[in-house]
Amino acid sequence: MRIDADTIIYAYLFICAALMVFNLFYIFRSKARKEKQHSRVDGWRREIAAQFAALEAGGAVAEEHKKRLARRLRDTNALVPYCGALEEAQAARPQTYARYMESIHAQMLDLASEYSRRQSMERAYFADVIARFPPYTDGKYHPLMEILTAYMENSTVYCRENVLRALSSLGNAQAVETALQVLNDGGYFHHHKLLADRLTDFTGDREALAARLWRHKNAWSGEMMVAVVEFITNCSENYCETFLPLLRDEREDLELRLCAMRYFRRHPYPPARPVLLDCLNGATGANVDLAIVSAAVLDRYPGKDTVAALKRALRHRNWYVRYNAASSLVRLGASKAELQDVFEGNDAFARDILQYMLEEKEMGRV
Amino acid sequence: MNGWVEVFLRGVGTFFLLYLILYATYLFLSVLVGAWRLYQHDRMAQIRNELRHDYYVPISVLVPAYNEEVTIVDSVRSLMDLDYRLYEIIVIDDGSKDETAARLIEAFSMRRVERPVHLRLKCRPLKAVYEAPSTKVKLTLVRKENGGKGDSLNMGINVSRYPYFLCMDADSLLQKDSLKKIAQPVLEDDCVVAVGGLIRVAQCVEMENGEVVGYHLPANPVTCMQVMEYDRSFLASRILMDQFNGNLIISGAFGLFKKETVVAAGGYDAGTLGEDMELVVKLHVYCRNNQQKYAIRYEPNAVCWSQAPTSLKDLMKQRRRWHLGLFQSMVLHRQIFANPRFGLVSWISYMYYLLFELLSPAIEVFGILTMVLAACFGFLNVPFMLRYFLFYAAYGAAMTMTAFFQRIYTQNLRITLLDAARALAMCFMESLFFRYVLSFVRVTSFIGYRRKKNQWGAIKRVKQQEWKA
Repeated sequence: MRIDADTIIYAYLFICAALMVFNLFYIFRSKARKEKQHSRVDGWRREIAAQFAALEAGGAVAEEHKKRLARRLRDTNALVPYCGALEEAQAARPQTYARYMESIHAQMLDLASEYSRRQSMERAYFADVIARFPPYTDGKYHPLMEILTAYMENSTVYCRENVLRALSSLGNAQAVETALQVLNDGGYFHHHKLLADRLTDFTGDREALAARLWRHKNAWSGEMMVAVVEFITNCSENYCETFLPLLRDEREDLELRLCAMRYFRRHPYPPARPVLLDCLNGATGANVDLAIVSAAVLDRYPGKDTVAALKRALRHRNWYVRYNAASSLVRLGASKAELQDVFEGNDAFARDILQYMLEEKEMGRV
Repeated sequence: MNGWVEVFLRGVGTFFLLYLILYATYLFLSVLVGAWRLYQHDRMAQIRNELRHDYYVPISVLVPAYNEEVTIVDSVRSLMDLDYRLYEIIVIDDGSKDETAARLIEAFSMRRVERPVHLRLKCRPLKAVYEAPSTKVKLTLVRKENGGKGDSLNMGINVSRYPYFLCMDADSLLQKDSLKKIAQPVLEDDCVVAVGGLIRVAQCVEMENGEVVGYHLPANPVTCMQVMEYDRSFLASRILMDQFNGNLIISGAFGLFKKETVVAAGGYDAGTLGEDMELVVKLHVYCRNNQQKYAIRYEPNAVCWSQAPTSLKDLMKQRRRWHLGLFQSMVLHRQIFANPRFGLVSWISYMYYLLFELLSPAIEVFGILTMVLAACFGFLNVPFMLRYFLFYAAYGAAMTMTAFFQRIYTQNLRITLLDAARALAMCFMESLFFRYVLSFVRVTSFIGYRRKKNQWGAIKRVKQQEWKA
């Protein structure tokens, strides 16, 4: 079969025209949909206001309204304007809002089940809805939490993030623990900073959550435990004794040890001082990362031995150790007399970095 | 004789038919994928499928500057207002002959500090470091001996404090949320070593406090045609290649990099003109050679508005540099060519740049010479040739239009009916004339190559307030 050049050219032009038409069609359709959203928000606003008025008058949420919610909110195009209207109502009349949410609790549960069968993009959105409008659960374990946790399987980072936000807002430690277990078992990557912050947002008993999560130290991945330690650093000062052995244990994950070391900067603990000094002096293994972090952490441990160790560290082979040591010396407020030998010494770098840090302190940057 | 010529011309005709079908298919696929991905992004944003998080990674913003006295202060001021929690700004004055450093020192009351610098990457000697004592974002000015843009960025990396750095041009404007957006892929995937953002032509935009308040097409046709060209390139090619981790370019005007990986790979090559492309290709090579899992991403929601050349002369100067840079990067990392170890990076990305970017001007010149030959021997079918040319131009224009209006829509920009008509006309102009002018520039770019290879490609800069003038 022979195809001439003209046929190919016309075929391409046809494809091209089809693409343009599709593009225009999509743009106009999306525009129309966006405009429709505004009128839908108005509709929901009126409907929610009527239900609020009924509640405030001592009545109840109409069954018809509940049925409409269960039927129409299965579509994200309806859920988006509903949430817009609900957000306004939440801000304007918080007490009535709480009673309203309690009344539509069953519908939200049904919708959660319905969305579990949808694609991850829609699951993510429903999890976001729960995070913004958490139904009242009194912090107890609830079937909704189980459904949300299941959303995390084979989903996107956005879905997992929204589920974690939702669970944190519901405030049940067991649910959060299960969610982290799912993440760990599935080997899903979720940045430790995101995880730690979501845990910090937890609205329930954070000490209880920390205790639950720490129990998994030997079972969960290093990345996951780093997030847990970062969360504990943000919320509890009761882990000094627990974390101290991590600093010495060379079999432990390095990132976890570094993270635990930073805990002792936020929560100074005198028994940690000799361990930190050992790390700085290179006595605890040969890993230079430990020396770098300990040089920074020691700024919270004033004392002659600390100043002496930091001054020695100014001549360390690693640039970052020297930089952090100089910064810590200045933060500790070491006196001119204590630093005299550095300024008169023959190590030009030690002199320069110290001088620079003093200038930074003057500018209020250290 | 005529028989041989006829056989030769038939061969050339078949080659060009295949070449253009291949190119048209690539263009079509890339626009289709690009459009689809942008619609998906739009939908995702509507239903809150995004990371709404206060903390991102700490970033050092590196601004290499050479003779930028006109724009540098405004640029740095706009950088101070970015919506991002932890970042620093480092301006590297690459031995400017004008008052670039003095303007900055005066505007931000900077003072000289004896800051020791960790020289992990080789670069020209440091002259002095200045810091601003009272800015809300830490601002550092580094003065060094002249060594080119790549060399300046290496110095910036040496001075930087944070684990990620962002390179940009001194005359570019970042949208308020640019840093947030460009850092998102890093939080989504641990393996991301570089992220490129979307570059748009700054002369189109009116910005206030880092937010777009107006959009219009520039009156200058040279600038206007670049608007079309940028939109097509950043909608199509980048998004398609992003699907298989195959981008070989992150524009030097706006790119985020993981410092440790860049340092391990050897930093910027100060000896090449296209240091931005060279670095990205080098990262592919480094990570694959070291069997390191990596991703180089493109984030179309992170937007940088960069000044485009306004005169044909400046544009030609810029494109010559780009073409030479492309040539240098391709030659330097020729190990990627037809190498199964590089997978689609080799078979699609490298081949695309080789066939449709690097060699295309030569192929086009060859085509023109063949037409002259055909005309001499009376084989030229002039009506078919014209029809073919017009169809091809129409096809290219249609693709460009799709890309342009796509951008307008997905970024919620509004344009006047007059601008829409002008855009339509410019799409055709770009396809009919502009691309051939640029082809000529690229063919002649090797003239004076040795002399120019280490120079900054200075073009005339104007302040934002004067763009419309």
